Formats: sequence, structure tokens, C-alpha cells
Amino acid sequence: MTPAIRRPAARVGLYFAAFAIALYSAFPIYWMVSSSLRPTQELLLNPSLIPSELTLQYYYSLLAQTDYPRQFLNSLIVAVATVALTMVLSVMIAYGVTRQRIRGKKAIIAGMLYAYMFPPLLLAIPLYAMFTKVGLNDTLFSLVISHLTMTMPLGVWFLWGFFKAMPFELEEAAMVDGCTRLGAFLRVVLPLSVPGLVTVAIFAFLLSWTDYTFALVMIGSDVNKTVPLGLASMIGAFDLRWGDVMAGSTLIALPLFIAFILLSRYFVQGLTAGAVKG
Amino acid sequence: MAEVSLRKLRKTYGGVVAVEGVSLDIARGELIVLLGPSGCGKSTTLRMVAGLESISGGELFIGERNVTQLEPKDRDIAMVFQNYALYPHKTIRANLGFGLKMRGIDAAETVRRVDEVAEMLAITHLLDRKPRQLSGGQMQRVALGRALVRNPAVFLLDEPLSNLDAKLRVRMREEIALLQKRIGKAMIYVTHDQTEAMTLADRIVIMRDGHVQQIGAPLEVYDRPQNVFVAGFIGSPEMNLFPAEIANGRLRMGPSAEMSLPAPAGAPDGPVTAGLRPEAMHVAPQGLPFAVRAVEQLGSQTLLIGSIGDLSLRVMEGRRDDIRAGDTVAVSADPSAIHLFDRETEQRLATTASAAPAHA
Repeated sequence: MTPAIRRPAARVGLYFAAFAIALYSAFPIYWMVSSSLRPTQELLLNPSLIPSELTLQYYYSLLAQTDYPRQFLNSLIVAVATVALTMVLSVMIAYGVTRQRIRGKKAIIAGMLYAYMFPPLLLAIPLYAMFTKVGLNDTLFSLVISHLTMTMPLGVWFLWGFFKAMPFELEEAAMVDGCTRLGAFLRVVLPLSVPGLVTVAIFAFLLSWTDYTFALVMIGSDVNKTVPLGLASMIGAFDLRWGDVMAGSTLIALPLFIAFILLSRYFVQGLTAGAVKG
Repeated sequence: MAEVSLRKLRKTYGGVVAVEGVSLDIARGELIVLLGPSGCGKSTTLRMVAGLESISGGELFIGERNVTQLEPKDRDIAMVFQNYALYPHKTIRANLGFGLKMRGIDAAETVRRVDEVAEMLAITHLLDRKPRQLSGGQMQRVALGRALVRNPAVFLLDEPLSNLDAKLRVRMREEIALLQKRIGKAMIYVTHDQTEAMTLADRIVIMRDGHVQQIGAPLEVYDRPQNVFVAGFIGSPEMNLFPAEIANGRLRMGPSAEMSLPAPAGAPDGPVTAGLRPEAMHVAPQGLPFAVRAVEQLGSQTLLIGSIGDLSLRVMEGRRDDIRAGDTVAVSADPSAIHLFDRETEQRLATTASAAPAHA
């Protein structure tokens, strides 16, 4: 710690800045949650900072009278499938690239980075054309594949740095100690990579869960809509039900909140490890 | 009977030969040191014995079994790595017990053996810690313990002391020597430090560019280096090596006829590369004029650095307080201590003088 931070004035300044940043980031979330809980009258006419009265009517109408539960389930299926495929594929690719002699492994890594740089919209149109050709258009599976174009480069890139920083002698020691190559990987490499794996999983979930662009292009029918798409179409309809939209947004954010709270310890470790060693 | 037998082991990467035709029989309880500069193939040879590198040619036997094609886990070996390679996510106890657990040894027996080894290495108080809470010396002990606990047929150590500071290195070196005698198993130890090799080894295998240069007991390679490379590599300070000419029973060290020492008996006439250890030369009442350029005091000994004519040499004396840089002293050498090598092939030349005392 530098001497400047130990002085009381500097300390107060630091805390104030931290508080301001926290407030700036947290307020929209607070506003979303509180708006989803206050009656329509108050929401539209004179929204006070603290709601005078709480109601669950939007949640009720959202869950009972709209397609929201169906969309929520769709989003969940797509996100979980995306995370699972991302994990399996990027772990295998990243491990292979760091540990095996593979022809053109530099090209694989570089290709992953370039793929990540393409804007989703640029990929979405040709992908849609391809999915139509093979009869996958307007399916959740096509959405999973689309999301993999974003999450897999990220995962490979991130885990590549992680595996590269891990001494190969650890696996060799495990092999001498009685493991097979796969056993060494499962018993030594994977447990040590948990922060990296959690980080990749959270990022993949986040990208898939909040994606609007790909969903808009790939999905046409109402039954296959995901939550971001469903919410957007709610705004586009004849009336603008802010309460329902806010309740829907709160529910979208909920799984992310839970994931972050449970896994934040690993997540921070993973981010810093990637930053320093990757 | 040999516990470990390397038969013409060979390793190639693509077209590049890393190790060529290494043959060696290691007895039970023998400590073999593979010695050489970096890139000489000593670590590759060790890793082939471990099974961490595939064997491109030749055969490897451990005990009665041909293990050339076996996985590391099936070879009955244990290895200590240069960077220790302790599992960072496991406690020391779990680190030590991992190999036993993998081999399906029951929990009670594992605890007993881990405790026994921990006591032997004085690391019992560390068993519940994680590797990152340990000092370098402690990690080194745990790495040794992880090998010991398995009780394998062969121990393989890959530069195990090179990450320790000088003082700790000497202490661990002694401990490894004592442990090895106590457990009486074959051990292969890789190092680039000739002092480690000399002090630890029953036999030293000196390697260069993938080829074995000489195999022998420490004093054997010290007394009778087979070629110029071994002569220069073994011994500290380094052997003085210089071009010379033998004529009329004299070893001529320079252009003028006076610059000469008596040649070893039985040396053939002609051009040679001569080798003289600094400790085989001494300041004498009569001898060649040695211009002292620098004096290094080592405590019990004094190293003189200087030259005879154009020839740079080092002379190791017993402690001398009276010689200063800039002095010229007379030095002489025992003819039987002169090593002669063929100028072309760099191989040792036989002389009747040096052949006699070596096989003691």
C-alpha cells in the first residue's frame, strides 16, 4: 500500500470514489427491480426512490398470461447446451494446442481470436443461410451453434493461457505416480483449472443468455423465442407494459446473480490468473 | 544382476538425434550420475528411463522386465523433478500419498508409509500444509518423500538441487547420499554440476551431444579422462589444456626449447594436447617462470592465475600469503600427472606412467 492511501483524506476520497462507482452501476439494477414491484399508477406518474407499496402483479401476469415461461425455458436450454459444448470443446482444443505437437497450432489460436473479433451480425446472416440449407433454421439447436461462434473462441483463448501457465511436470509427476495421461488430466490439470473453467462457463452463459442478435435472425416462430426476444416483442406490441418488461428483466438477471454470488471467488481468481499468466 | 539395463538407447526428434546409443547396466544400490552440459541428452536419457519420452531405438530393462514400451506408471520408478512438481491443490500428506492411492494401497497402509517417510525426512510438521506454504528446501524434501514412499525399484532425479541456494544444496546433497545408501535402491541422478557428480556418484556417466564420453567411478574419470572434453569438464578449477609437442622425452609447451617439462614415460613423439590439473602443479625452487596475473585465496588453498610464456595456466597451491599479482615464481609438475591427448581425435594417449596408478 502506498503512503498516499494511508492518509485519512486520501482514504476518504478513495472510499467516496468507490461508492460513486458502485452507485452508478447498481442504480439501474435497483430501478429495474423496484419498478417490477410497484403498482402501475406509481410507476408511470410519480416514481419515488423507494416504492410506497409493493406488488407482485407483473410477475403473476408475466408468468400466467404470456409466453414468458416457455421463453425462459428456451433460453435455459440454449444457454446450458452452449455452456456444456463450450466447456467440452474448448478444454479439448486448448489442452491439445498447449500439450501436443499439432501442425499449425499457431493458426488455430490466431483463427480463434479473429473469429471472436467478427461482429455477431456479420456471422448471423450467412449462418442463417447455411442453417436453412440443412433444415436447421428456426431451431434452438441452430441458436446453440451460433452462440458457440462467440463462446468457443473465448473459451479456447482463455484456457490456452491457463494450461500454458501450468507446468507440464505436474502431469508427468502424476503419470509417474500411477495415472494414465487422461487420469493425470482429470486428477491434476482439471482441479487446478477450476477458476479458469468457472470463468469460461460464466462468460459463455452470459453471452448466450443475453444474446439478442443471433436469436432475432435465427428464430422466427413464437415457440422457439428466447427471453430477450420475447421481452423485445412485448415492447413492440400495442401497449407498453413497463411493469411486465421490468419483471421479465429481473427474472433474466436472476440466474446470473445467483451464479456470480456462488462462483465469484473462482471468477476473480480466473480473471486475474488469465490476466497475469495468459 | 543389473537392476536397470539401458541397451543402445536412442532418441531422435524428426531427423535430429538427441541421444545416440547409450548402454549402461546399473546394479542394485548403485548411484549413477548422468553429467554433462545442457543439451547433452542427459535429461532426455533419464526421461526415456522414466517413460516420459518414447524410446526411438534400443531396449530398456528394469529388473527382469523389458519396459521399453510400457507407460511410466507400469515401470516401477519414481521421479523427482527439478521444479519439484508438487500438486499445488493437495496437502503435503495427499501429495505423498497420491502414488499409493493410485496403486490401490489401502488407506491405513498409506497413512503408515507416509508417516514413516515424513519422519525420515523430518517433514512431519508440514503434512497438513499446502505446497505454496513451504520453502524451497521443504518442497525438495516433500518431492523426495513422494518418491521414497512408493518404494520403487529405481529412483530418477532430474537436477533436483538446482533451485536451491548454495548452502542448502550441499546439505541436501549429503542427505540424498545418506538416504540412497540407507534404502539401497538403484538411483539415476542428472546434473550439470561436476561437484555434485563427484561427491554423489558410485559411477559417473559423462555425456556430450547425445553421446556417452566416459563411464567410471569419480576418481577414475578424474585420474584418467578418456578425452579432452572429459578432462576439461571434470575437476574444479578446470584442468589446464594446451597444445604441446613431445620430443626427446620432453614436453615442449611453447616455441622456445626451454619451455618444457619432462614428458611422461612411454609417450610417443609428436604433437599432442596436454592436460595438467592446477593441483598437479606447484611452486618449486626450480622450474618454469610463471608470471602471476591474479591470486585467488580460497582459504586453505591459493589459486594462482598467470602464464608461462604465452600459455595461460592456473596453479593450485597450499595456502600462500606471500605471492602477489605481478610476481614471477618458478613452477614445476610431476611428469606422471600430465595427461596426453591426440591432437586430432582428442582421445587419451596411453603412457606407461599414467596407466599404472589409476586402477587402484
